[in-house]
Amino acid sequence: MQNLLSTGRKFLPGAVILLLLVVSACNKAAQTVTPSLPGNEFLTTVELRLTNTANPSDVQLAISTQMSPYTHTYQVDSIYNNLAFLRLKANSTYSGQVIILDETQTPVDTVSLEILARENYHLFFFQPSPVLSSNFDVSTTTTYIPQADWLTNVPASDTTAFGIPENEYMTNATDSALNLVVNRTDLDANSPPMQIGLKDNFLTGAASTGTLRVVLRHQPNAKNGTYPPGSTDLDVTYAVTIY
Amino acid sequence: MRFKLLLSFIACLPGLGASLYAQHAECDLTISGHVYISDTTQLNARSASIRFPTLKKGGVTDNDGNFNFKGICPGKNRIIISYAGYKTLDTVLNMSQNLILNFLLFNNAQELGSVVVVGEVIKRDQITTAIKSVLSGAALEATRGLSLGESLKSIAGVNSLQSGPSISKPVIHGVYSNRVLIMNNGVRQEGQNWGNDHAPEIDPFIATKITVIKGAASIRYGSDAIGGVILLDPKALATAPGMDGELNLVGMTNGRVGVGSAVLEGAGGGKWDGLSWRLQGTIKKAGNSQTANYYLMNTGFDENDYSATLQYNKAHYGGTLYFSQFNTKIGIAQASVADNESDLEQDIARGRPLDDGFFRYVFGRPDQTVNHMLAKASGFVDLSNKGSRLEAVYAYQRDTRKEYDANPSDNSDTSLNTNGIPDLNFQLNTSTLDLIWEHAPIKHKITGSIGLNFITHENIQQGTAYQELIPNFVDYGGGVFGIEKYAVRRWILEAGIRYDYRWLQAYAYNPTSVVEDRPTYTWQEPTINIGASYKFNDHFSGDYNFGTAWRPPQVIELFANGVHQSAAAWEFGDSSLTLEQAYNNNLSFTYHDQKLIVQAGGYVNYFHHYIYAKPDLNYITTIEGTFPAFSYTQVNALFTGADLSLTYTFARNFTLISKTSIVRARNLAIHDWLIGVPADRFDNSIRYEWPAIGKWKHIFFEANNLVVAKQSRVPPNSDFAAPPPGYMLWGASSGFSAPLAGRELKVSLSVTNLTNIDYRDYMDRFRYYFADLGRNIALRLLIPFGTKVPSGINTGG
Repeated sequence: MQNLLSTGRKFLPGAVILLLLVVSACNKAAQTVTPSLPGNEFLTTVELRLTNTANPSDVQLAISTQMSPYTHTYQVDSIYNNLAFLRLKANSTYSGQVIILDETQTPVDTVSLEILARENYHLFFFQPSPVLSSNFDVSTTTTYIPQADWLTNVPASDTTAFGIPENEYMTNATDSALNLVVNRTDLDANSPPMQIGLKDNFLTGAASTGTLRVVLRHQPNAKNGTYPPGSTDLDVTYAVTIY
Repeated sequence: MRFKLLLSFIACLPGLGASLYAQHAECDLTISGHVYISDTTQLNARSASIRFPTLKKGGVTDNDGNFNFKGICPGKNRIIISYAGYKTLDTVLNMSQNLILNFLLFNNAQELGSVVVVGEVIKRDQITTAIKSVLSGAALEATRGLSLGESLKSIAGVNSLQSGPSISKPVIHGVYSNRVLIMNNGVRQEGQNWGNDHAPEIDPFIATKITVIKGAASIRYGSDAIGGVILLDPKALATAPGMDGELNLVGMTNGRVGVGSAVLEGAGGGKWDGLSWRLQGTIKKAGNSQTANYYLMNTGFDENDYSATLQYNKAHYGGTLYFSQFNTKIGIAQASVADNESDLEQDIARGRPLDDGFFRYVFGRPDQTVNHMLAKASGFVDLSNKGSRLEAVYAYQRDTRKEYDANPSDNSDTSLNTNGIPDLNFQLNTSTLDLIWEHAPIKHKITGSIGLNFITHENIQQGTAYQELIPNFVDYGGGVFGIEKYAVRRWILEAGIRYDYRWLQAYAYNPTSVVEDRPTYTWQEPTINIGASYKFNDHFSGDYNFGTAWRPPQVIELFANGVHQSAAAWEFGDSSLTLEQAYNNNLSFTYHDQKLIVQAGGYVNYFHHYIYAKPDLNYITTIEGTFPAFSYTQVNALFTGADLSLTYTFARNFTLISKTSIVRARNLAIHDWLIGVPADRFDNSIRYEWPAIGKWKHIFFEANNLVVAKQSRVPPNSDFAAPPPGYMLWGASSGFSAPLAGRELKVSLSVTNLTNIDYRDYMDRFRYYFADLGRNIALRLLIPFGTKVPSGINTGG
């Protein structure tokens, strides 16, 4: 009894320290915002840069971005389509390039170069809408998106530049279709090589308007030229006017 | 002695020293408690005979199954308990303190080749009238190798929320996640329980008894115990000198799962009397699981867990050190990857993986790595010889969760191995301290306890995902409670009151100004609980419990702003959410006779300011695509339901075991149903058992039929796809036990989804993408070993 009490007194300071530890076990790391890890990159901006092959001074740049044009900061849940439109001459050929940027970095990081470095895992798709049903042909060499994967449920309030609804549809009438065909012109290092889509040809027909949806599929160890394998890295829609 | 430090820590707590014991040698100990019969419903054994042959003492239990003997000498005492129709218990108790023990006797029909008797200290700080179900003995052994969430599905009123084949978390009376508290060996489990795909970080092999409290138990356990509590209790440590152990081996065909779990334990004698120890470890490995028609790629997992316990108990004081580590790496089905809304629609339209897949153990991204460490020090000291006791438990937990998306971040700097960088990375450190004083019974009728709880968390997130789901935060909480029970004639009445305070500060960038914000919250609220238990006659009794409970909104509910992976949903938190308050009513009736045992219960649980993610029915558009938006919001909700369990021996050796779970949940704000509530479930088995053939014992065959209805009670436009149709699964199992060096080797073989049907459960979050598991055949072996003479009792203390 006495023994126990005296050992109790002996260890009282230790017990008090233990109790203090209990109530003040706070780690400084928790009490601040954790800095971002180095090398952490995002897709903030997708640009289409198109050059008329007949007239190199006719350069069209369409930009879809999550960088606020007002504050120049990344907006987590907003997309800015103010510049996301293409004006293309009728019956022309444009050579195109997809440029993907991370504008949160200084200097701005060109993510499309990293996609090029992993070309065997990536495949771009370009879906004009309204698409002429006789043109629409899903294969490993065309850039059309299978109809099952079209945007059909986007609320009418979600529009591209010029207020065009994003939903995709097909038409039988040449007059109402967007007369645009996109072909990929680059090949990856797979065996046999498959297309990538960072570089493309844009072929325009008669004057028309519509939308162009660009989807980058990420297909690690699964790329086979079709749309379904893998997941989507980016999915943006541009307004298009052919004049 | 190393243990002096711990003991003196306990002894130096304020006000203790004066009434500590000095005498040990005198025969001044008491043993009291209760004798129950049967495994599932724990009915009182009236007039059971209890004898202490060495002390020449004896007597019978009263009408309620209670007994009380005084003048017991410290040391080893033989005790014999017998009851007509039930197996006689004859064992030795190593007495070092006053014991309050529950004895559970099994009859031959129910003696499923498991524990003969389980004794435990009746916790005076528990809620007696709460509705509980216990999974132990043979019923628990039949679930060995499964995760905790899957193991508990065999209890009426308990379901699971799955994320594919390898992630499962328990659902009690329709609520889950941060409304269900898990007490892991006496410590609040503090992991990242906010995520629907975050399973409890616990190895079920540590427990030999799992108790589910259905209903609010905040009065005792604090916040989170708003819808139910799961108590995992290991077997009491050995007290007799020697060493023994047990090896569990489980093999399953689906996923080619292999599980090995071993426990080794012992106790010291002589100079080392009072010292006990246990070492336990589990290894699990699984590959791709298989549905009826195809494999699910990337659904393997690797798990390894271990724990160690060291205890030193003397007559009137004692202490325990416990350490456990849980490590798992779980592959997430490739077919569940949906990066945006159009991916999701495409996956749902297909409803299955692109190809049939194949078997392999190897898995990669997407996956999760979870580590959970628990260190615990606890002790008790008796303040008087009349049953006044003080207990203290301190625990520290470190939970780390790393989630890897399907794609590593693209990065030009090849010196950074982005493949190894997790997209979500959380570390949650938790310290808890509990102090409980159980006062001496007043006039042998009033028992109770007063307790203090302290808790502090710190969360550090280091993920690379831009959209932070949960910011860093720190919180502190404290609670004080008192529970008292009054036992008189046929009644047990109890009441409790509690008061909690919690402070929380989060650290996040303000999204518009990009400066650090430190939003700070405090919450405080009382909690009450009242209950009554009434015995109509020897066969029939009723329990009623009313409890309030509350929980503060969780950090994700306050601050989320980003994509919740695998749901392809954008979640918005609401920093103005207030605390959620629950009012639980539980009523349960129990009937038993020689052939029939029925437990029927109903509940009405009202939630004020129930927090849930409500579909906004609009979309968030980003470069990566469009996402349906969900906002955390508060409504008033009403959960009602009923559970029925029935065991009926309708012919010699034939038993029907039937379990029914029904729950209805209404959103009172819009007068519609709540989403994510389990469908009606009917689980029926017929069992035939031979008591013995030669040396083989407990030979049984069992056929099982499980019917789960379609969940037709969902609000419109609230989900990505309509609820799947109902389904019916058949199962069968068989087993026996055989003597092995004086112990019992147990073998069983079971088949689930016998007819290999293709089905989906509404509570599987991955039901959009693929079907649930196909046929699975499991072989279980339980191999006991040791140096001690086998005995069938485990004593508490």
